[in-house]
Amino acid sequence: MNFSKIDETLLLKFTEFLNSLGFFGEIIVLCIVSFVLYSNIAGLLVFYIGLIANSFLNQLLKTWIKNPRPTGPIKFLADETVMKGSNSYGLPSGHSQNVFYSITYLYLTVQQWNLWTILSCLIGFMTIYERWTHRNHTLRQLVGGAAIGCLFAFFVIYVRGKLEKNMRKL
Amino acid sequence: MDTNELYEQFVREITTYFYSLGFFSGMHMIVIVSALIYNQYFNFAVYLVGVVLNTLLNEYIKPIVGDARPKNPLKYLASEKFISKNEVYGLPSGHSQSVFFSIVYLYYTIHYFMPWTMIGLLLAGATIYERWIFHNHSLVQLFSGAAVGGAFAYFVVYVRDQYLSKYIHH
Repeated sequence: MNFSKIDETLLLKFTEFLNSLGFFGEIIVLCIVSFVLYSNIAGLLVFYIGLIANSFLNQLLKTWIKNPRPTGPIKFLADETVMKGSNSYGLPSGHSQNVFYSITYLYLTVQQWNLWTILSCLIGFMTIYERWTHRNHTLRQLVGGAAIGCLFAFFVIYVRGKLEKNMRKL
Repeated sequence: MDTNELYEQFVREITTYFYSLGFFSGMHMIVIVSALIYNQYFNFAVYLVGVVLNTLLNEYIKPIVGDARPKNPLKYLASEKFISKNEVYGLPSGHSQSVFFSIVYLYYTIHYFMPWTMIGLLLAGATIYERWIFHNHSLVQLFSGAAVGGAFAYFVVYVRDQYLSKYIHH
């Protein structure tokens, strides 16, 4: 038996597992929000619509600002292709914007720090770390994405509140 | 706004995320089992020792059996390498063995099926599919890994309940 490289292999597996949590942060937090808010159908519906709008907003901002991504990106997945279209630009980071939109929406809906909101925050920071260490974005692009995602979630919650008020009046 | 670009991106992310669930199922199961039994200190300690022994068992069996992996494997992660000695052999599959070890150990520790054992089985299904579709293992290698992992977990639980628990309780 050759166990000399087993600790190296386990460490690599663990690191890549953490990177995968960051890379797929958007989908993982989407699953968490869906799980936590599954009984709040209206809240969940507004969340999904907001998420789609947030993605369009990201596409729009990227093509408008035209800030290039860092040079020499490191691939996480083997079949990652060259960025095309609006994805060739990096400000604001789409991963960061979507994940922080979801975290803020979840927090503003449940209005407490519990296991799920804390876990979502950790995944949000892992997303920033993974995108930064793999040179897919600069820190400015990632923090910019996080800020826009948070602000957009506040806006969506505000609109949802107005809609709820009008619905009650009717 | 390019709807097609967003749709393609979304489908691609969902597909690669599904593969990541399969690729990292061993890690996911360790997180799930740890979260469920961390307060059963003795069972949890035996589980962690079992995980390590199961990994070593896999490293031990592979060169003895000497069954080659399928030709033309595809990489899932960019950092994957197919060069180490034991990586040349594929029977039993290490991914499959580790995920089935955790599932069987979990079931014989908590003694209920829904939802966590079921989630484990879904992850195992994703593992078998991912390892097979990426030509990393043949189906025989995957199912033998499942059998070895399951049998080893049963053995560990048997030793734990029949022998080790007596020392703890006296």
